Amino acid sequence: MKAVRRKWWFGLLGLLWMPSAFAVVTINIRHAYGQQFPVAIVPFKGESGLPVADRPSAIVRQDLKGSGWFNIVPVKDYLALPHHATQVEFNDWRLLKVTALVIGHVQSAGNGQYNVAFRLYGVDKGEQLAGLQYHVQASQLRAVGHTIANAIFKALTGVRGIFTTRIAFVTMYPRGLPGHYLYELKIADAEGHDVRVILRSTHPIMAPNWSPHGRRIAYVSFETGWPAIYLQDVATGARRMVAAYHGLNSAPAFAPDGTHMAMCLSKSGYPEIYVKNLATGHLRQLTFGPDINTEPHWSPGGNHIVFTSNRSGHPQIYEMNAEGGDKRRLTFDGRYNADASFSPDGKWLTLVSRQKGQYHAALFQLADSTLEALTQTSLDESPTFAPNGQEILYSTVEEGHRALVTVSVNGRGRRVLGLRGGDISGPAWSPFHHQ
Amino acid sequence: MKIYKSTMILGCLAALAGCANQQTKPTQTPASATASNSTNTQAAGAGQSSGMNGQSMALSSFPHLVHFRTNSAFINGANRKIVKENAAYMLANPTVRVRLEGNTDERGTAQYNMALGQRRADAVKHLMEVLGVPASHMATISFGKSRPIAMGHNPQAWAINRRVHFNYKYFASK
Repeated sequence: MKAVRRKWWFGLLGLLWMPSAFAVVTINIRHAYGQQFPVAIVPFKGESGLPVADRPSAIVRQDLKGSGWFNIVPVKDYLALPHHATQVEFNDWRLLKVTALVIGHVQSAGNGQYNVAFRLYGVDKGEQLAGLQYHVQASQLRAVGHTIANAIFKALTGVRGIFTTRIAFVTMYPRGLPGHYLYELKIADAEGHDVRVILRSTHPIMAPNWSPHGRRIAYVSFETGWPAIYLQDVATGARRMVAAYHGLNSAPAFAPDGTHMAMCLSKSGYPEIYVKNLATGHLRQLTFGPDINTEPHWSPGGNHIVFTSNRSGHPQIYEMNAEGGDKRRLTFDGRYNADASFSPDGKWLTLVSRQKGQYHAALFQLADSTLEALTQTSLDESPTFAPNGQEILYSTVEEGHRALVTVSVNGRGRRVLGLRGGDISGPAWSPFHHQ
Repeated sequence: MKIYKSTMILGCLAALAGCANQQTKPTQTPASATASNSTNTQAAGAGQSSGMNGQSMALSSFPHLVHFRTNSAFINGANRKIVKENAAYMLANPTVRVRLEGNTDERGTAQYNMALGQRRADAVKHLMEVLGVPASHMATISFGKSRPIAMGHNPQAWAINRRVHFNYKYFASK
């Protein structure tokens, strides 16, 4: 058992030219539901000498494609491969019917440093929508790719990109004897790269949950032999125990303002939802009764909590106010709906829904109570919204092992994160600010 | 080995799932090894410390696992018999302490399964109390789906993993 310190890499420098006019071709995401916009990304000049994984244009291509909103037209169809503004002939790109064009270059600046620049064009009007230059270490080339993808995503959709956010999850590795595993709590970038282990134990670790500013992670660890909720500073590794009551200590969920934490305890004899004041330690019970009440998640404004209860005989999603009043059932379709959490705009829930015996990550629209499965897989768990609300990350079985998968909310983009080894579960997506 | 098989048969009856499947056997065999190990470790201490009713029940003479149906904490007839055997052992050996460890299969959500595993452990504890075992001699814990003993993603593995384990070793090793 040890808490692992994490070192953050820092910083992108430099801003050479700003877009002349922002957000001219803004794609309305609501209208884009079910539609993908064709984009051309020309391989950047000077990046062929870099490892494929470090090439900024390849990262941009992968990020934008994975978001589900764009169809990246293959390079072999391009009529030209421009690298500078003066080389762009917009008619070439209008023939390809692309909405936007990305060009750029990578230049070595000596001492293992690089200058990376890109320009984004709206093809119809033939104008520049975004353009930035960065001066970075070789080790930051991937980060630059993600930052460029963020800028492009924002310029084209009006929505913030999530390509520099991070995810937390638990990997378990069999240790020979059945029922014996090694558990690792890890953090990675949104693609599953740059993995860091922040806690390792031969006892179960589960249910990581980010604090609102992404500085801390709450989780359940059994390291004492019994379950307890801990709070760990991501950067320093410093941590403290938040809940170690008799029975369950599970399902920690930070309130949006970070002052309180909802959780499921069974110290009364039944699994019930409580809210703990993290400053004073004061604990308040919000659910009562001999049923299962668990998996609390706060609304973005902090006024409501959704949770799973089997009071109807089967797990279904309920909502209550943050004081525990006004409880009402939200889901009625099927006999298993569980682990619901809010979209950042508060209009949707993502949850696990059993349909025809298959457990799918699903979307529930609060306005009209419609429930829609997002996946074809059958053992999904722990769906979590990206901080921009455009993607959902979950764990499911892929080729015999649990892996992390993202699916865009329009159901089109699907990525299996390239994490190797063990069974991966309980993913949680960081907020935008994760320092 | 014997114990293990009988446990498995009961577990499979409960799950209404065929257990003859050859594929599940390799994963299960080591499970019996674990059970036997803990059994042997404890049997020596517990057997010596008590000789009630003039008969000493071997800890290895009855199963230490009960099984459940999907999403249920109900203990059916065959599993009730196993609980009774464990209760009889604890009544005959009043110094023995047990940790009742609830587990679930991998289907559904992790934290709901934590609650379900707790309900299963609590249901066994309640039945043990009804049978006369003092509550203070038992503790419960749930591992949810975090400690499967069968690794497959199929109904046979799920049936094996929906279990409460009578862990006599936990407190004995403290």
